[in-house]
Amino acid sequence: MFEVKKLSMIFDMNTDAKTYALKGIDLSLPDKGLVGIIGPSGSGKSTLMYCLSTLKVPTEGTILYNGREITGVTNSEREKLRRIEFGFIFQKHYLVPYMSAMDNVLVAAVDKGPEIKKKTADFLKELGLGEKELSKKPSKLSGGQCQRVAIARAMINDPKVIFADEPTASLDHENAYNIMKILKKYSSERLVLIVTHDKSILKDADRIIEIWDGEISQ
Amino acid sequence: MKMKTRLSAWKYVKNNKRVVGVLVTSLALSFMAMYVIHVLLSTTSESFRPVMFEMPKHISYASLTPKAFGINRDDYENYEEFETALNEKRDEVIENLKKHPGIDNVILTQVALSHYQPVVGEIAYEAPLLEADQIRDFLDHMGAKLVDGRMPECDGEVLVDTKLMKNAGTKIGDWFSEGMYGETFRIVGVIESSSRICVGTPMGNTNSGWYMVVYNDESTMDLKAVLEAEGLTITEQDTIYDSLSYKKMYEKDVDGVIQDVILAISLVVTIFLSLLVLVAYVSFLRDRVSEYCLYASIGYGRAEIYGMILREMVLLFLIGTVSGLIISLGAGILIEELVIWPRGLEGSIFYGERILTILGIFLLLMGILQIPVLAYVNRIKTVDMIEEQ
Repeated sequence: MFEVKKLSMIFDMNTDAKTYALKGIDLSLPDKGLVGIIGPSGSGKSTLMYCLSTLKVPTEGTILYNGREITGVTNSEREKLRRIEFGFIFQKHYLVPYMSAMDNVLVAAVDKGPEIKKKTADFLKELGLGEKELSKKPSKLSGGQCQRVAIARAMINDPKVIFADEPTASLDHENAYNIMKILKKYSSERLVLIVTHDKSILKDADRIIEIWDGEISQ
Repeated sequence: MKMKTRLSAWKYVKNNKRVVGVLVTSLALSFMAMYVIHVLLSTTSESFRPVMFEMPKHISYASLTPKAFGINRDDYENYEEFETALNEKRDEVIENLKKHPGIDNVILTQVALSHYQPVVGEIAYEAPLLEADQIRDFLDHMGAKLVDGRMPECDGEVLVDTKLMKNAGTKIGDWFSEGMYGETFRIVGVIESSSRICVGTPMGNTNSGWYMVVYNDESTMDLKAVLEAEGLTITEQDTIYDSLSYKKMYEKDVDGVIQDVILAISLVVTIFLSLLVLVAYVSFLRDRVSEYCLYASIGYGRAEIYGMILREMVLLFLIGTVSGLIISLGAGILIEELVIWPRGLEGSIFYGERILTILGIFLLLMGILQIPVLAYVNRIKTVDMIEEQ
């Protein structure tokens, strides 16, 4: 699915002290499976994920997504990829505070046909939310429930890739386990890319990529 | 895949009643303030209309100096000779004026002053003091009718227009015009007319001003021109109240001033409102930065986010405008019931032009708000950038 060649990301390009977040990374990722990117803080793991997901544009190198070069595409093409092909789970859930759980998922839905509400409700229930929770706002939900809503939002368009940045960082062990179970299930048909510094959540990963100082060490 | 989705403007409005309530209430109250001020101030221009436009269609006044008649005091040895010459010349002019087309009658008489007070301002205008047997003819000429009380029979009695009675809070038996001439005229009857006219009988020679009272019709707009055609020399020392002079006075001293005051108040309210809404709106935008960043991260373009903000703004202004219009009309009805009718004033509760002006001000305000909105939209980041910070 992804073919990454000589990918570099340099911060402070215009100063003498250039900082390499990524140094000439070569990488190939499959169409499906749970792939973990692990490394300490500042290693460049999040930068790699954000480059792959088009949120960041790399300084050098190419990223082929399904054979198409995506580093040089227009903003609107990048936005389209993020809307339709990719799903995002961030470290903080970033739910819209005034919207219900349902609406927080629906806001990302590309299709707004009559069946989408039922699909969303069923999806949220499948992820463990009760009927009553569907109409609750994020402030009335637990951290685990909020993260499930964020997962539902990421998955509502059946994206080909899910990018998850520290998806369990703010959760207790049980909730973290459940979230990983959901992501593992989704990875049976799609690609799920998880960035974390916690190796324990990647025990079921199909592949683990370790990054140190902007370079893949394994 | 076809993307039908749009960011909804209604969801924020529906789910943030407190914030939306503050913004909508600010807009609605500002609408009402601008509208009510207009309604109140318009009672002045509306109430003065009958006096300044209707009355001169039927009657004009001229108080002329001897010089206007070509009579100079220095040409006469004593005052009696001067007075005789002046009276002769004046009688001659009066007789000539009576023959003028568009003039029914001319009477040299004293006048009292009628006072009419809207919410803002006051007008004082002439009430002719005639012989009792001349009053019926005067009322007929003015198209006025006695609706209560009786006609004046003795000296110092007056008939007063219904609305002036309400305005002054007087009733039959009360004193009229007491502030100007002392308790000189007793109200004995109430008349209805389209020109708020008052008429009475003199109380001897009160030195309250002698005027040539000209019974004219609508064709005599310019009494000065008529007098000059009779050979008189009219200067600034002569006083003439006719259609033309009242029209000029209305445009300059009534409508002009009122419009200036309304404009000044509207400007102050607009500036105050702009600052208030600007501060509230910037705070409203600041509170939602994370939300906009999320939208940008999951694939919404800036144009779509801007579109949502714009639709929300239009919705807020629409609700504010409709609410403002409803409470303004409600306040207008209250003003009519509590101020206009009880005080015998003229006025309306619906001013379409004013509503359009306020809508224009609101549109201007929406235009001004685009500055911070666009600034915020241009600063929208994606979630990764926030997390890096």
